Amino acid sequence: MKNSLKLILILLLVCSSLSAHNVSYRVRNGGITIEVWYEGISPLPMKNGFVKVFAPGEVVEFQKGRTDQEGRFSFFPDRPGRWQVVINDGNGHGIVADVMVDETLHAPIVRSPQPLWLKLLTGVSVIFGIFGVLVLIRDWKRREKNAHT
Amino acid sequence: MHIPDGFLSPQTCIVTYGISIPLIYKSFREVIKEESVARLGLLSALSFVVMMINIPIPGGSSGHALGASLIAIFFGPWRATAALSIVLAIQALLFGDGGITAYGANVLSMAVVPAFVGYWIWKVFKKWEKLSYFVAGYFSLVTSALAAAIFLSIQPLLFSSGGRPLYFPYGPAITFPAMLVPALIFFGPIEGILNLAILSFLKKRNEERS
Repeated sequence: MKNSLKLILILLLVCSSLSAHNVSYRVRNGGITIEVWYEGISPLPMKNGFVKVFAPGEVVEFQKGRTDQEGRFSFFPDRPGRWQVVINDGNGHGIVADVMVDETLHAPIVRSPQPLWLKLLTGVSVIFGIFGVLVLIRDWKRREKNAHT
Repeated sequence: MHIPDGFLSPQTCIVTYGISIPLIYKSFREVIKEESVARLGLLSALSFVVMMINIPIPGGSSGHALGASLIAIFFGPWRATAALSIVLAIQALLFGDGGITAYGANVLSMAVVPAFVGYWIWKVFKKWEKLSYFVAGYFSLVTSALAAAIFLSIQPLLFSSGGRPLYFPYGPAITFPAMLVPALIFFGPIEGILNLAILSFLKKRNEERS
């Protein structure tokens, strides 16, 4: 009887350490949620967007998945630092967001740092700059050609 | 229509870079010869703006016009390729629109293909001026979507491990309708109307001046 009890106790201990066969769950609140939408007069959520979450300094993703029907995606960071969330809609349009996670594993509420008008202004300025350089190269080549003839 | 990082295999990226770099080089040599580089810069900026304005479509995805055929009709397909290559590089490097590793594929699908297709179609229909502007824009955008769909849909066919796709997961049966239907119904007509409006306006202005 004593031996049987010992055997059951040992088996219980072994089984509790081999927990992989028994799946449990708990419902938790919290985590960090990122929302993505298309800007416009009436903003629309980016549904089913492809998401990759990178922990600070990591190149292999910590988590990947899809946004829900409201354009939301949640994850639970396991360390503080600058986390990177890359989301796109499969057509190459999307965002790369840096999320600063503090020691309590929370992040401040932030919005996109660049509004569309600022992106447009930046891009147009860079294009004009590049074509300005191309004009200079063309004139320089022309002058060089004239000097030879 | 921009292909993001992680959707194409390294082999596809290397091949598409290998094809696009000589084309970009040739296109830049053409730009240097161009008298009106500044005007080309203006149309490139316009193309950048129309590409940055994403129009959401039902199903959660989005798309935009290109402006490739517009530049090709004005300055020829090589200069349009150079202009679009610059625009795509800025979008990939500064705004994360389209991947850096997928830049070669994006140059082929969003610069080379629409510029040349748009230009040739415009040449064919040139007799009917307004129609030629519209169809050039329409087909340049549709063929651009087709090229992107080809790059993406071959990924699961060529690069899978134990039946599990390593990169872009959807084959031709899903990718082609997903990319071509919006292009045929929404974005092709938008590109055509954009071409028609801008080219007609610029032509009218030129006629008034001369």
